[in-house]
Amino acid sequence: MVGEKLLEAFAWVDPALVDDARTAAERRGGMGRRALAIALAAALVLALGTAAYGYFSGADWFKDWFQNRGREPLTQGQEAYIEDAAVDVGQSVTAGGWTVTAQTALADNYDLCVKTRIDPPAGADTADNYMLEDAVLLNGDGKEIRFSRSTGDVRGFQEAGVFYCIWSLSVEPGSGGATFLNVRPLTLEFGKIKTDNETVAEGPWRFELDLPAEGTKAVELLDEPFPCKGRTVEDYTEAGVVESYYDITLLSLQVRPLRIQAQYRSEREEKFGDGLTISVVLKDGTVVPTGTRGGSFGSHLTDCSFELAAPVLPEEIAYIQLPAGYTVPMPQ
Amino acid sequence: MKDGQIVDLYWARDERALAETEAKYGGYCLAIARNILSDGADAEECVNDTWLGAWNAMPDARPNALAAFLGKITRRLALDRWRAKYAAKRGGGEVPLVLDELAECAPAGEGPEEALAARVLAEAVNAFLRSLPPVEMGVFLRRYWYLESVKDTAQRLGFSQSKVKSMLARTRRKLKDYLEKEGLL
Repeated sequence: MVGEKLLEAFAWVDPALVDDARTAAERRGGMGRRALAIALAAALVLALGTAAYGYFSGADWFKDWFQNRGREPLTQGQEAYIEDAAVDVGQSVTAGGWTVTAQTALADNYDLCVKTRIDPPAGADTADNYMLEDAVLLNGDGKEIRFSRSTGDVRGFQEAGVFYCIWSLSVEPGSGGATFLNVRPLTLEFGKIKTDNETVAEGPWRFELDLPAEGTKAVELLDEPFPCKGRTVEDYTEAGVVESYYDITLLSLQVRPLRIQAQYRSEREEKFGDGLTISVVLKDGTVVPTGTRGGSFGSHLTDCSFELAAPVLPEEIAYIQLPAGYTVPMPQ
Repeated sequence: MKDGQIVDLYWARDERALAETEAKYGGYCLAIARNILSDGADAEECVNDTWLGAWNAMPDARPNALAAFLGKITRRLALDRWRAKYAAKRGGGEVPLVLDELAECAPAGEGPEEALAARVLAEAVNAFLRSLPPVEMGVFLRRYWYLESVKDTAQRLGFSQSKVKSMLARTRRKLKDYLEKEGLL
């Protein structure tokens, strides 16, 4: 009975998601008159053009976004970092009647977040959300830079009737030494707009990103292999998740403002459900969780990266929290 | 009263915990039970049993999300009652409809391996839900966690019923694709 099995599996959905579904409905339910006000405000922003756009976007938007994602107020250091690193792009390209605007970007040496707005042609039947796909990253010579994409925010979303899509990218180790900040100009090109699996428009939509010349460097926390534990889920019970741990050795743990890169060797071949759960604990006690884990299963050696829910600055970090109570302190 | 204070009352074995829980979450849990059971008296009994379940679970449990914790107990009790009372004739509440809809998430005539551990499926469902945009995730959970009717979800979120139905159908297809991709179907 497939339906029964899935219905049972739904019982074990993360309580935070269940609560989100409950409160999201309440938030939305209270929006009647506010929705009209937002629509009017949006119309006003459009009418005022680029100047007004600048006022409502950029660092402030990223602050809200990261705060919602991390579920904790940002520290002063985090806010200052976003203000320094976020740049307004403000470039619009129209292809096939679809206008894509790269509104703002937040970049460090190896990680890049770009907020894009998608405007369908007038009168088009609109879907719930759109995704930008087939992205290519080019350096000044038109040569492609290899990157990996976070899967955490792959899908686009809609806010007050306007469609957005966030792209979070990381340069891959085999990128020939390129970083987001030392390549000028850095060209980001999208090939398709999709909704679900259906292509609704083909580009290209091409943007030249002028990012700050310097960013916060990555910090390596380990100077020798660090034996610790990976986490797996044994069972779900009424009292909660029953976890167990298995032996791993961390070979490298590198912290960047937007991401943590970890390489570890496990004593057993990893399977679905296994993994390293990591969070960053700041000196003021704030816990910054990590989202998507990139990496592979079915291997003894894993190289994976964790997208941080909100940016972290090395000087604000107290330690990195690993499964089973293991911690790695930040080097002084 | 804040959730943390209510949980503290449970941990102190203070019976005011039950009154406070009922005052704050009685309507919420009753709505979940009513989604599952068409009989109002059955639903109310489930809610009363929920308070007993919470009393027995705390301590040791210290839930971070009290609403979801209580809702989960109600959901389980109501589904158990539905199975005992209605399953044979597939009557009552939203359950038969939801079961039929979820059956679409596997190829016809096939299902997840019997031997497949529930934990793996649960992990996969969690990972899938986290990949969804918030509104789609909310609508999906409203239907398959809260077992809310399409009509009620549409009213609650200010959508048309057809929009909710099409969102659910699309998300079910995506879940099917996801489970296939993960090798779970």
